[in-house]
Amino acid sequence: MTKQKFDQITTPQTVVIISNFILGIGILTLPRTVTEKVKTPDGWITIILGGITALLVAIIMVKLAERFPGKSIFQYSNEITGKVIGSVVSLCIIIYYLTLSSFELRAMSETTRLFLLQGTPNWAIILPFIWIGLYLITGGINPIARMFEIVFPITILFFLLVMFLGIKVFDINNLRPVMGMGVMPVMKGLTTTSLSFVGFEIILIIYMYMKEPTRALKATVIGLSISLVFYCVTFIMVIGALSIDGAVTQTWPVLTFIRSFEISGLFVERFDSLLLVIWIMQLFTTFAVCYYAAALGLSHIFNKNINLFIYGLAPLIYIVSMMPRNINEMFQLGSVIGNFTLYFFSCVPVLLLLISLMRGKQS
Amino acid sequence: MNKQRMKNVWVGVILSLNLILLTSCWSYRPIEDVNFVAGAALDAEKGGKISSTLQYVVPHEKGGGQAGMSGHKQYENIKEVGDALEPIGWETTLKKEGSIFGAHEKIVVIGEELARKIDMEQLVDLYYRDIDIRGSTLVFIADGKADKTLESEAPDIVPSYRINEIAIQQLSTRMLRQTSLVVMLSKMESDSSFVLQRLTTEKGEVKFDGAAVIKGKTNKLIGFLNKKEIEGLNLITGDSKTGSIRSQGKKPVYFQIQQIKSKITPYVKGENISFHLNVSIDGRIAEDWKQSFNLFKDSTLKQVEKEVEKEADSLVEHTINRMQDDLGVDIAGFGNELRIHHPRAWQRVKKDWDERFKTTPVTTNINIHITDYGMIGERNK
Repeated sequence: MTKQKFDQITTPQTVVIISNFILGIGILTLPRTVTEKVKTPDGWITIILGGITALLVAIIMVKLAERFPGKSIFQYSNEITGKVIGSVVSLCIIIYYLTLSSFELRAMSETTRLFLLQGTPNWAIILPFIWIGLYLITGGINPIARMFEIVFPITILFFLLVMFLGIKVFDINNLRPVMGMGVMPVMKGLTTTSLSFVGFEIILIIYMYMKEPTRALKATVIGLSISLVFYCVTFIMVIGALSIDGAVTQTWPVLTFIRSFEISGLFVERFDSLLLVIWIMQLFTTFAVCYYAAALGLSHIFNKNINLFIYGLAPLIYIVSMMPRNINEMFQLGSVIGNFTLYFFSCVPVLLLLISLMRGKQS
Repeated sequence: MNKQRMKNVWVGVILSLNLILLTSCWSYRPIEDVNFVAGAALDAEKGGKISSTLQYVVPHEKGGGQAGMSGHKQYENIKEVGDALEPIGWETTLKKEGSIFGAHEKIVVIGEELARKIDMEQLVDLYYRDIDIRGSTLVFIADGKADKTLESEAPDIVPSYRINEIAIQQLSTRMLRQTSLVVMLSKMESDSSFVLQRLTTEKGEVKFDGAAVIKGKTNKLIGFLNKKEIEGLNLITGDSKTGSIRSQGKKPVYFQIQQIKSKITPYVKGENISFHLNVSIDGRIAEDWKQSFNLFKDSTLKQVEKEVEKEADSLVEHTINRMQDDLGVDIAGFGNELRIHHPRAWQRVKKDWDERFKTTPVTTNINIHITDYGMIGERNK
């Protein structure tokens, strides 16, 4: 085993990690990406169905993790399929987390540069992010979990505040009719919305840290449901304000929505910076977990101290995050990651579970 | 002891480094060097060019507390010509120092000639794309030249802010509900026709007068509604809170609106589409010029209700006729109700809905309900 301290996290902390990890850059574009596929105002139903799909996959993952308590997927994939295939699986997961963390970083920097710090170069936003992330994750899983516990209530409070202030520009007619064109349009967006819940697979890794592993399933379900509520509220408010025709034209529909109303009489009239600030915190949490998961994976494969990989990955993450040359390439990177996740995480855990059941592998 | 001293030295070094590192913001811009745009006016110019007039707020030089009393002009209008909005913006920087800051822009006024000529969606592309300008910016059409509406003789007034305030308050049924850029976006993207508030200038002062009708297919101005037709439109859509209706009779009796509830119900039978409009209005009698009346009697109230109903009915009828026979567009959201209640029928007709709407029968039913009549109930002469 590695030399790192074996910390433990409580069940609420697990919930917070899962939902913080799911809520990433995707939510800012979700109303557009869903409506592009669905083409009716029924996207919120698709989001709920997507959440349920994600839940089914999550149950499989928890069942898999439960067979190997105290071990991460990087370790038990070796046990199940042998060293070669196991390493390939682990490497895929590591590369996935590495790319995802770079993508979140870049997306964060793009939105920040557009809305908050217009004159600041990308590197000046990204580098401090990596440094602070590095500082956090060298402490191990416990500091990460505790920081998430601080970030999470702030996010909920401000997010709900900002969303419900938008009630002024909300028009329920934009969300009607419900299933006017039948069930088919709803199904068309299912892939997109299921993908938006990507992140719950972190349970494969943090399961080994749980103080009460028996409650892993409950924690995953609650974590997923919280994100589901966030997604639904966002979608309903944004489509209610912009209508489906308006939402598909906007690069960041959620930000357009936030900027489409002003509240006079309150201490502040505008809430876009407020939302962006909490959103940067959310992106930071996603980034930090990805970063940690990638480093942890490497340390488990090579049986070396995790700190070595934490420092080693930092420049790599920076380079990958600077690779997309413009915003379209950035969105492309996002969809490449999305497609990979779709195939990888819907197949591999099932296969691993089946093989381990057949070979009776369990520790 | 020595260790403690070393620690103190290090703390000192870090603190003084912070002094250098944390002095100011990266994108620091002094507020005096920024021109706050309060409103913009777009006009057609010779040779297919357009002009943009930017209204800058002039900050007070002395005594910020005495803001309302300076007697100086509170604004400065900078006008430039070009073939699109972006070059015009740069052109103004050749004339006036400081960069343009659009985050506080409240209104955009588009001149009549320009609105008739150019697709609105292209014209305001910059306003949607630019991240400074907010979706809550309100849109207006000017009668004649738009830059005239951004001027005022009165001291201590920023015309853009005044227009914005009037629009937000919307105290009368004789004006439209505010249309922001975001609302306009969804109208333009769904190709539906819509109305924008028209501004006129009388003796150098701006007034809300009538509405401009924008056709959804072309996004161009095709005609105007007068204030009376707006009253009818507001009764159809229910998009108004307060206002009054005169009763039909020799001597005026004015009914003050307190609440409008309107409901459009579409009916689809095979290929035939029809609408039924049901409006119920609550309010009180605000003024009565009849020589003798007794409002304490319920029958008199019913009588007045009937007379107001007649007038409201004729207002609505007239506006519907205007839409169907004259302008040939649906600006009251009939199509939207069809979309909601009969989505499949809507799929068939949405392509040329405006054309179809011209011949679609609309039946109306208006209910006036008088809740009270103020301090006078009876007059005998």
